Amino acid sequence: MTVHQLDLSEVTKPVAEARGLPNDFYTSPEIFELEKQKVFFPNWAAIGFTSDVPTNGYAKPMTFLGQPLLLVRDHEGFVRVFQNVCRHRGMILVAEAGPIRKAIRCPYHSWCYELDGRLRTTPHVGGPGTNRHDLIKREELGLLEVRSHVWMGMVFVNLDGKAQQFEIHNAELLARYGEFTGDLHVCGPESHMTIEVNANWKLAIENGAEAYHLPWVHPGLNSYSRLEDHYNIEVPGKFCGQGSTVYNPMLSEDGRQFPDFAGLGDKWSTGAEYPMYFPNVMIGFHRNQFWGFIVEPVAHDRSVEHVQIFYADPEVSGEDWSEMRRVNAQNWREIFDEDIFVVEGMQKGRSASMFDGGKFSPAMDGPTHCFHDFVATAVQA
Amino acid sequence: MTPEELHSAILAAHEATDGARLVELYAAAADLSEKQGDRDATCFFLTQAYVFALETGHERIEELHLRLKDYGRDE
Repeated sequence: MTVHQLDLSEVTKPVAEARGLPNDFYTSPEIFELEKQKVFFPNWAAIGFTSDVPTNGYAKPMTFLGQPLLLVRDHEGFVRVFQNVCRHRGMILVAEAGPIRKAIRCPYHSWCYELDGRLRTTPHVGGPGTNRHDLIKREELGLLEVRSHVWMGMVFVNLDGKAQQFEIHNAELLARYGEFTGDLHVCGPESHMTIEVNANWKLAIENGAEAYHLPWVHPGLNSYSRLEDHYNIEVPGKFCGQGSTVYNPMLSEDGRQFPDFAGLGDKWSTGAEYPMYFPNVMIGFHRNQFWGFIVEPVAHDRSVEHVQIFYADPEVSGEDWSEMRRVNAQNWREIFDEDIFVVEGMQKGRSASMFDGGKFSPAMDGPTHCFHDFVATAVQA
Repeated sequence: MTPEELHSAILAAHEATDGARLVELYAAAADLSEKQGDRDATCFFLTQAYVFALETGHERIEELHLRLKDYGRDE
């Protein structure tokens, strides 16, 4: 199916009149390919966390939307993303995550690259024992760097290289959450989660966007943060989601709380927000913890969710906090797990040939529609 | 070490993926070739040593690089 065959006018109508994205957007490999080109490549998509490259000189290969990428923290600590291929014969350079002591050596003909991407040497390229050739210009043959940006511990890439600068493209997001300027700390292995779901990537984002399902799918959460405590967030084309005026989790019997991020306004003393950053991240902002929930699209009907919880103070990594960290991570994991059956259930439901994309609640589904409108607009651009 | 012993040791180091050992063995092979006045073989072995030095972050990186540059074989 080509974009010319898609009629998405019903999707981009105001929420009260709109229908959701058609079934093909969940069941068609062709639409999945179209979304790669139209939704992901022109935008800033999240691929992972800075904590995936925990030390200077660390490199992690990854495949994102079929692209072989190499996430690197160079020897100066700067996080970069390259295409994970040698400029010579296109060989995959790094097969496993781990430390790079000095240079990346291609396992095929041993062209060597510095971690900032520069081509350091080209052994025997001019004949045995001659590592230079007039037509092999090293300054033109460095690693293919992908435009990337780090924000709130997450690594974003713009694969087509044509998007506005991250700060300009995301001005509203950065302004709304600009108070969160403190360092983020990964504390304990339980704060990282990987969840595989048999569902299209969008369903995870759609589910996170609205609070409507909370009393039914997350009754435990609703017991202290009720549906009426929530409000919608809608910034067309950029992000949407939900906020709660109540955030006061009980993680220990004595009421102890994790240390807060410094410099936050009053809004955050009792509230929390969960914006869905377009296209593929759910974010949890709280006064004393932050998490990123990156949805990695694998196929039209398969996704992997990568979650990393960050804390405000490195002392939270200590033994004194281990039980609270464990309870906190477990609580979030239970919520994320509770969502699996609805996300996978909607995926199955999208095979119903008579389903028309769905009717939105004008009161409750504004954020979901905001996301559908973003996707529909992007694929038609 | 004789050239034959060196050859066997290099194969064993490749088998063991022992990059630091490969640096020393290829550098020794380069020294041997240099004494024999075989410029091409010297630079071949220097290159091998240099590549594994780069990969392992070996302390001889700059020395090996300089020798190759002096021979006009690297940039």
